[in-house]
Amino acid sequence: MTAVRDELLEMAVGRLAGLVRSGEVSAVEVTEAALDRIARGRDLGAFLTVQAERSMERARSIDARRARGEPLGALAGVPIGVKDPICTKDVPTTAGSKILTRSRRDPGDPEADPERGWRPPYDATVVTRLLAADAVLVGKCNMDEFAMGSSNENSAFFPAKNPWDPKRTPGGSSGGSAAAVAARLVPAALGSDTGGSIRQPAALTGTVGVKPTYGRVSRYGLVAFASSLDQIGPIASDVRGAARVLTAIAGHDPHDSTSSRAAVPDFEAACGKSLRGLKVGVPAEYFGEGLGEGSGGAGKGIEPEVEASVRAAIDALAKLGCEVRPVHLTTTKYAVATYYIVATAECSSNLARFDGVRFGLRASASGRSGAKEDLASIYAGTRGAGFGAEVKRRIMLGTYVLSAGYYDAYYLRAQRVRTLFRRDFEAAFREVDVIAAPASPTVAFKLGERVDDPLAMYLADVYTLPASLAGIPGISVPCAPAPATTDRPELPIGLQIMAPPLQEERLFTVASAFEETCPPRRAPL
Amino acid sequence: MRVTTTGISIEEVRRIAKLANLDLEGAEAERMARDLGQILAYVEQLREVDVSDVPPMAHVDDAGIVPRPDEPEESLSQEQALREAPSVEEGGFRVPAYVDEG
Repeated sequence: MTAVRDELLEMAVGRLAGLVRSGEVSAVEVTEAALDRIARGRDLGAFLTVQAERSMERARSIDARRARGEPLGALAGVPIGVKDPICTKDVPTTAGSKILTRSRRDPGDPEADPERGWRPPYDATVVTRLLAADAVLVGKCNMDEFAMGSSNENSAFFPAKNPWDPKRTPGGSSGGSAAAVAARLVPAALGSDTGGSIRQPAALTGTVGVKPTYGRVSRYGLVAFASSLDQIGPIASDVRGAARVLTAIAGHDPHDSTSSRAAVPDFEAACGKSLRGLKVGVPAEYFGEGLGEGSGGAGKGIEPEVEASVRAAIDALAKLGCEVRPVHLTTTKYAVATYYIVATAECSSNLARFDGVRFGLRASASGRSGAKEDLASIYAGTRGAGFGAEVKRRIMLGTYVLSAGYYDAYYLRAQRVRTLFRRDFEAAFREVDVIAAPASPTVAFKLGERVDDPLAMYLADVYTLPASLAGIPGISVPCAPAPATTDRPELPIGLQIMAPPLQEERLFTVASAFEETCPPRRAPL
Repeated sequence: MRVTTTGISIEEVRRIAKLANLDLEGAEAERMARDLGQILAYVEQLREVDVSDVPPMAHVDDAGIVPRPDEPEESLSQEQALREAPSVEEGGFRVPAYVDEG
């Protein structure tokens, strides 16, 4: 029985939806299978909360509608995990933070409990759209607090683990979404990507992750980290599945003025097309030593196994008919410095709303016992008690670079350098159709390895930050894994493809063709 | 290694923390001074980039931002808006008095 159920979750998203639409499999069966597998995969820490009853109720209503002869949507009965900064009406939404949980009723309660998370009074637009496509949203996925991190270890609750080797990180910040899909607890999940938070965990877990063009997907109902960079996108077990989810969630939304009015194509239709004559640029700056340099020996450029696998993948693209040529993205080495000024400045402003007044935690100032409780002490005390170390670090850095006397030297300068990233890509895309590169300089690193060295952690994002700064779309698709060693099992590696703004179809065309040569693999459970 | 620890003093950290409405405990402030110093030293490298005549980019505008019409829409009820508040009184968010009437 378990084997049959597991099979449902191991099949491609489109095939699963097809079986539910045709009635060969019921949404209830699929949902039960997912809930069962989520329970068995509990140690992975992929989910913060699971909505079992709600999911079953929804599955029954989908089956009932089918029984009445109503047509079902493109994601009929597909269990989907939703990263936790995405608002789900009346369902706990913590963004991985203690500050979005209600205070303990009595001291015996666990200190941080995602079940006591803030219950939004509305659904994010992406949630509304997934529901309209008849998906079943089974749970909220673990993440680094407010999406700030590259290893999921900044979750206020517990870290998610990499199913390929539970001693290692699934990446971050959408680590829970990636771990859930890698172990096929669900065939697809939503993540959010501000500087690589979809593509990097997808690479480290052997899943497909898409960061759409900035503005392609509505941010309405996404707890904001850095508004000029944040973008929601899919993580899925196969390229076509990711395309199908993106097609469902993309498109203009009157509630997000930055969402694009461009027509949304059927991204799945871009899959399976020929690559003949397609020009693929390979940026020299993404290979070799030097890029990851800068801190504590943790960033020594690209790992040889990663470089070998990505270069082999690019050779495979050439065999599929692509014309491969070098391009230059000369600003790349400034990505980490630029990003950590721009993103922290925006976060220090966005996170000002968490002050203990309207939602979540309220605490008084610590170390001020006996002092009069005033509004300022509630603000500072709540934020001091409710935010974790990395979030505080970024709020502090952002406040610093925006403060009088430093604004021009840091923030304004970083915004000017950001323009150069945009120009770099514009110049490259005059010569090539897509750019191929690694998604992460390393395979999944060990939990605990970088937690005491923030800069080393930041360098994990060096290959994904440029596309984020430029606002262009990118995908990570699994390429040949790094072979097992005496020290560790085989570990996934991701090939990153980038395209000009609103040209996600090219990503899907290239990634689906490449996937034929390197079929999706499921992590052990 | 590009990283050197430029000084950022505890006093500076306290000043920034006050601007950010953030309570930091003693050990936290010391750690913060060290971490911020290290990160600020790293981002110093942006000084070597020639950005004269390069305009700043505040956001990506491929979408062509057009605000929606300014028309009234249905909004949250008072009950919905207050449901998650840590402290409520008489249909509002309850906070300590912040105007000293004494």
